Amino acid sequence: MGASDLEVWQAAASGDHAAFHVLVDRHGPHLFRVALSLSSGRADAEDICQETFAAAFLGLKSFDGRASVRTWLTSILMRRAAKTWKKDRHARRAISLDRRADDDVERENPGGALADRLKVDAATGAADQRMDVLEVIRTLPPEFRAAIVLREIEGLSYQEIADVLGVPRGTVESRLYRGRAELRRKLTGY
Amino acid sequence: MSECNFQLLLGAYHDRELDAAVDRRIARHVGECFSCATALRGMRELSARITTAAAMELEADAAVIAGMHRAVDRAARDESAAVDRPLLRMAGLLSALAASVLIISGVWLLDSRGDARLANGAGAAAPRGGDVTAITPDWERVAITLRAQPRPGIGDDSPFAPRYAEAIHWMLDGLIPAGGRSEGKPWAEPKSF
Ligand SMILES: [Zn+2]
Repeated sequence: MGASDLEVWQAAASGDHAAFHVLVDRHGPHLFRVALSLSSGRADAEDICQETFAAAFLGLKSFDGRASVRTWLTSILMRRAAKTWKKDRHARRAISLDRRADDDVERENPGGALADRLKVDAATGAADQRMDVLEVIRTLPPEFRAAIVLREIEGLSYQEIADVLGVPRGTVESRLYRGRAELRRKLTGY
Repeated sequence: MSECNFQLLLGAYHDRELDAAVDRRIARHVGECFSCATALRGMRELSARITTAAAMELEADAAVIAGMHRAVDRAARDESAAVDRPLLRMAGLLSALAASVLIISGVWLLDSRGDARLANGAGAAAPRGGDVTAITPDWERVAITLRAQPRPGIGDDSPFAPRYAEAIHWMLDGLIPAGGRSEGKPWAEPKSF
């Protein structure tokens, strides 16, 4: 059993650069899972993770040790991911008029095209298990998506999710409830 | 399937977030309520499906992790560069300042010595202990005059006078190499060669 996250963080914060790399090895894989479930592709997810670790390294001393290192890193990642979503939205606004019309439909009904596809597939009776559940998660509204990913993929507790997202625990509970209902609806068509 | 009020707690039950007493109560209820049992099964299936998909599709390979390590190294380099930059700037500034002081004082010293040599050469019959100001450069004359003639308004009994005199003696001690100073005289008689 190696040193705890907190011990490794303390070593890194007091100037042991190599210690921080231990945190990268420990938390890189699951941060990447979160990033990839939230973003549109591997390249974006890689960028977000790299930015997260760079920001964490530069802000090592800002971590007060009250939350876990994992929660701290995840909250940095969520902020970077939110920035990427915002940038994506701006980029989408800048594209051509006909594409913009599609976007308007998409904004009114996020994941609408996918849901339509699902309904068709559901009608054949074979769709549910074939559907890429992660792709459907990516079509959820951001606040539901974040709660679902942090719980289902990261396995964080409600309180940890609340800390990461900066919302009350009750809000986490309600986002999970509504997010799961929405996910089920999209996956099964009802 | 939303007819049962317990369904609001099913998510927390599924996630094992309820305290023991409520957890037992929901467990009992699920055993009796078809609607809640069905909803709970749906939740468990969904979780299992997400877990399976995540394991298959969301794995980070070695190259991805290596990219994170490189990002940390880049951040470390940028950070140390950012820390070093102001120090280097400060060191450069101090060196420039020191160089300027050296150059200015060098020029000033050369200039003063030149003046003194000129004065010595011109006044071959410079009086011994006479009008010493005749053979001295300007800055020395100012010092001598200050000692000989204290500023008007500051008499000998003034508490300022000894301080002036002390300062002027100090200047002369330091700046006139030949001889030195003896008590009671502006400075010792120059040695004759
Ligand atoms: Zn029930």
